[in-house]
Amino acid sequence: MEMSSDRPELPRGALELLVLKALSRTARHGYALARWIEERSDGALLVEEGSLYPALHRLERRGLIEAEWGKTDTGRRAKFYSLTDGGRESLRERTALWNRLSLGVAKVLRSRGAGGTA
Amino acid sequence: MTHRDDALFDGESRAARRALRDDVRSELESHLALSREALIAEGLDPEAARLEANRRFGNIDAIEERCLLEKRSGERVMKTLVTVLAVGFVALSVAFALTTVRLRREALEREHVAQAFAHELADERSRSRTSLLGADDSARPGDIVQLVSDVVSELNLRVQVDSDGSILLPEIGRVMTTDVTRAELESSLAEAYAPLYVHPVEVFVQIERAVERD
Repeated sequence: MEMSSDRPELPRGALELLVLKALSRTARHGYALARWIEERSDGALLVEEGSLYPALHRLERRGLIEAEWGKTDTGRRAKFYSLTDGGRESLRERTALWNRLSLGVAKVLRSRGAGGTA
Repeated sequence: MTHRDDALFDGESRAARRALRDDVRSELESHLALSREALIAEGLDPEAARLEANRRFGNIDAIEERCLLEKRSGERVMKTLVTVLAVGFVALSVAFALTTVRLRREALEREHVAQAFAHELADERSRSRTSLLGADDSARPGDIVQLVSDVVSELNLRVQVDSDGSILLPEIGRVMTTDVTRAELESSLAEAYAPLYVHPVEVFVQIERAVERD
């Protein structure tokens, strides 16, 4: 199941954040959710099913999302996930945290090499 | 792994475990079906789509186990928490009971010590001090004669029996004590004092004798 190395697997925190984001406007099942993230990242991100479903069950257990069986457009049975109020709150917090984190990391990476003044 | 989990969650009913597993399995299979559907829409034939969908998905059994683990880890945390709390409660109860028993025992010990001390003190007093003579006993030189009168306050006094066996009393002077019993001394004193007071005088006599220590 090794995929192309130019599409790195998402770290757990980032995956959970993107799952919450993917559910912020509408309920989605796992497959649609993975495709949505991949499309929105213009194919830069790969959502591995091996990590996606455990993450969904983890988030559900924490009460951030809830699941309900439903039907897809093609009439197929699938489990749809939606955000709870707690999930919405968590999405806000995690987004702010992620933005601070990525900004900080980007700043460090942009800085001149060793010996450069801050 | 499955057997170990099942053993860990033996409180959970078999039916509930099966239902949970079936739910996760259905979801993963639904994902595979959707994936196949998309691949067929892209132009792959059904068999190629099935193989590709399975390849992309990876090991379905492993993913199912990870999902069940995620679902159950909450229960596990709760169970651990409940166990820890229960053990803590029992430990506290036992500690409390032991402390209560210990404090009670210590209180009893203190009480015993106090009682023993009181007895010892009483014994010590009776041994080292005096004994009271009976009604038929007679005083000896050195004894203490204690007069008690409810009516005449001057007659409440303590005098020591002289070497000649007499005591010196107010108003009536010397009275011999060694040749009469205590009861006789009481009545003779009452007689002696009677003429001096308007009301009948009653005098109680106690004779204390110093007792040598063992």
